Amino acid sequence: MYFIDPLESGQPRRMPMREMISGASTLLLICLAGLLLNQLYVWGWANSVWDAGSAAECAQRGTGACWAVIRERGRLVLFGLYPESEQWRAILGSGIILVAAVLSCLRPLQRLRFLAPLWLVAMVSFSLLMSGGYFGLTPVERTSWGGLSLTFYIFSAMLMIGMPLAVAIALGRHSGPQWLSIPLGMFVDTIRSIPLTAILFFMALVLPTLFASQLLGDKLMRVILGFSVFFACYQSEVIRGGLQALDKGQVEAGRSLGLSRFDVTTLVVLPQVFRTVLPQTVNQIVTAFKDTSYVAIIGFFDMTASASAALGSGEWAAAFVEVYLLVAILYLIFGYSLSRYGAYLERKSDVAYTR
Amino acid sequence: MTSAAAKAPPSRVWFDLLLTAASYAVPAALLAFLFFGAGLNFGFLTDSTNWDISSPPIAFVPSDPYWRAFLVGFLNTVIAGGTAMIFAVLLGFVLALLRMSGIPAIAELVRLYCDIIRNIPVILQAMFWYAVLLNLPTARDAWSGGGIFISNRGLYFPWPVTPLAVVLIALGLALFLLAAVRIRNAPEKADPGRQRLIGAALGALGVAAIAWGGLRLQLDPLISWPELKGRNIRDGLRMPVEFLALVLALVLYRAAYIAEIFRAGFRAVPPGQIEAARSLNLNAWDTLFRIRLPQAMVTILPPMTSEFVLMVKITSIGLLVGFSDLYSISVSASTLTNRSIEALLLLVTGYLAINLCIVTVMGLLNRRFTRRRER
Repeated sequence: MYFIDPLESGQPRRMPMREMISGASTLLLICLAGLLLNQLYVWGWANSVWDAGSAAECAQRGTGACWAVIRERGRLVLFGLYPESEQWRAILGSGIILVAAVLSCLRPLQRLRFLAPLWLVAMVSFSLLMSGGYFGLTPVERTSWGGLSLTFYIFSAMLMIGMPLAVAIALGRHSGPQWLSIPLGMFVDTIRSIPLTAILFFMALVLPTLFASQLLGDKLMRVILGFSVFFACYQSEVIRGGLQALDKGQVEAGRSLGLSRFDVTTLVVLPQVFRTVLPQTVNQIVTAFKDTSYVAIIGFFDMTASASAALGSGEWAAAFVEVYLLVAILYLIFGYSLSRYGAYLERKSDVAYTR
Repeated sequence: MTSAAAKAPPSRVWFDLLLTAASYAVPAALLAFLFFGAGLNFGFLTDSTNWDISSPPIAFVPSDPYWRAFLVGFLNTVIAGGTAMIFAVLLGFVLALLRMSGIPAIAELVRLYCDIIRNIPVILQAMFWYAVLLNLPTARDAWSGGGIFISNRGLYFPWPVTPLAVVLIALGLALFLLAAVRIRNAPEKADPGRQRLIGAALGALGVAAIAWGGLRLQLDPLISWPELKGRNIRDGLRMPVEFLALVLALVLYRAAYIAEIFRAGFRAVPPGQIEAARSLNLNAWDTLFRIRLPQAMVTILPPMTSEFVLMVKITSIGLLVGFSDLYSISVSASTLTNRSIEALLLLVTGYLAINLCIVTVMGLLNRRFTRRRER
């Protein structure tokens, strides 16, 4: 490929190899993407089947996606075995959690005196709505909670218990006396070096053999506690990083103003620490959200486990792509928006530092 | 901290000491309680299991004892974790290079891939791949090419009949090469005599390894090729679909993170280094592998260590795709024998051992690369 020489030296200039490869591969990729999108359209829309009794019937009616499975089994993915007549409660409960999550992402509202009551109210109303027994609501066993609503419940309960625990561990390790910081360090390092599955194993299977069952509460509570401890150990490292990065003068200035140690920690130290570690915290929260799927391993039907349960081995088993796609998209919506939010915070804090 | 302790009154010092002792005593007491109070008893390890493990890495029959089942689980975890690490690093490296290729379309595509794959739980991915693999054609209509078969029972590929011999010979040849390089470079070093001696020792080790391998080698046939016999595929090495689903999910998932580690490492190399390499007329390949990668290693290795540890931990989801890793063996053993504490302790010990190995090896590597930079 030859072009007019911009320096007008009379010599035709060859286009650099690099630009040629770049241009060609861009064109190729655009063509491929177009083909792929077209295939996706044909599979997912043009040839798709929306009304059928089984995957085999789907295959008879059309060659595309079998969305009938979502109509038949989608409820299982979203709400598990929750009674269909009471489904509005699960929808409302999940909605409350979502609203609370969105509110906590707004910068002006990120204050402890707002977030703590918000989540407390959200969790209590979620639990009341879901389990019923009050205000004329029919009681629903916790064992029939499932799907997206169970994922939301585990996720928010984990954060509510885990976050204060993380702050406590980080403070204990950073500024606590030696007799506290050393065992805490050992504890955190041990938890961080074993898989989450081992902790859930301990909570679900080992604890009942050690203590009387009435001391322990039900399996779901124990598992949530396990998640919280696991989350707290990772999050405490993030917070400890922020504590170490904090200028020592801040504490000294607070003390010299006559503030008590408690006031210095809550009014001077923690607000600044949380501002610096907010991006990493959001990353930890995204990871925690994905980690809720580990409950599948000890037999709870969260969104992931419900997906495979919805398929079963029966008439819908062949339509696994559609169901897994739906669940993946649901995770993607929450996970992606959270991680974009984290990236936005990171950019923002970078700007604040360079200013 | 020390000055404050020096100024503190002796009673306070004693108090702190006492509390420190107590803080160690609590976990010790807990362990003692576990061993004596809870009646910890590992006797069940010698009982026979009466269950079967599909495609174990070492021979396993139902009459084998529990400790052997745990060993199978441990080996499965190590093999799955190790395989996933190798392929995830390779894929992550390629993804990082593509992302930095300077071609906007490719870079955007890789970014899209990473964004999507990172936000889907790995358990869901493993389940998806498991379902995909189970829906592959049966052995009779298996896809095949170049001696490799893929069916709904797994991936079959040619494999040496005597793997140990082949490994030994390969190791011997590698040692030999290393020895040759050392002896060739000896005159440039500060201690040529010592370098030659080390080289000779390495060469001798290589010869020994090759001799040992040669003795174990079965020449007839050297490699077993998978082939379709009746309704099954025989011979060759089979990677069961459970293993494939787990490793595939793990590789695709963690490669998106490893790419980011590589990218951060490459960005930490000063641009002047690349310009200097260009002005020395090094080609792109040499610039990458001799200038950028060795210097990036200093930044890459620490996060890569935690990445490897994490990958081994994630293999514990194998239960959900029917893979007999250490976790699923522990769960089966604990439910069948009611020895859940013992099973948990074995499980935790297994993971701690693997993680310790990873951290040690990566630490040695890290020291090597940092020292090279300081020189």
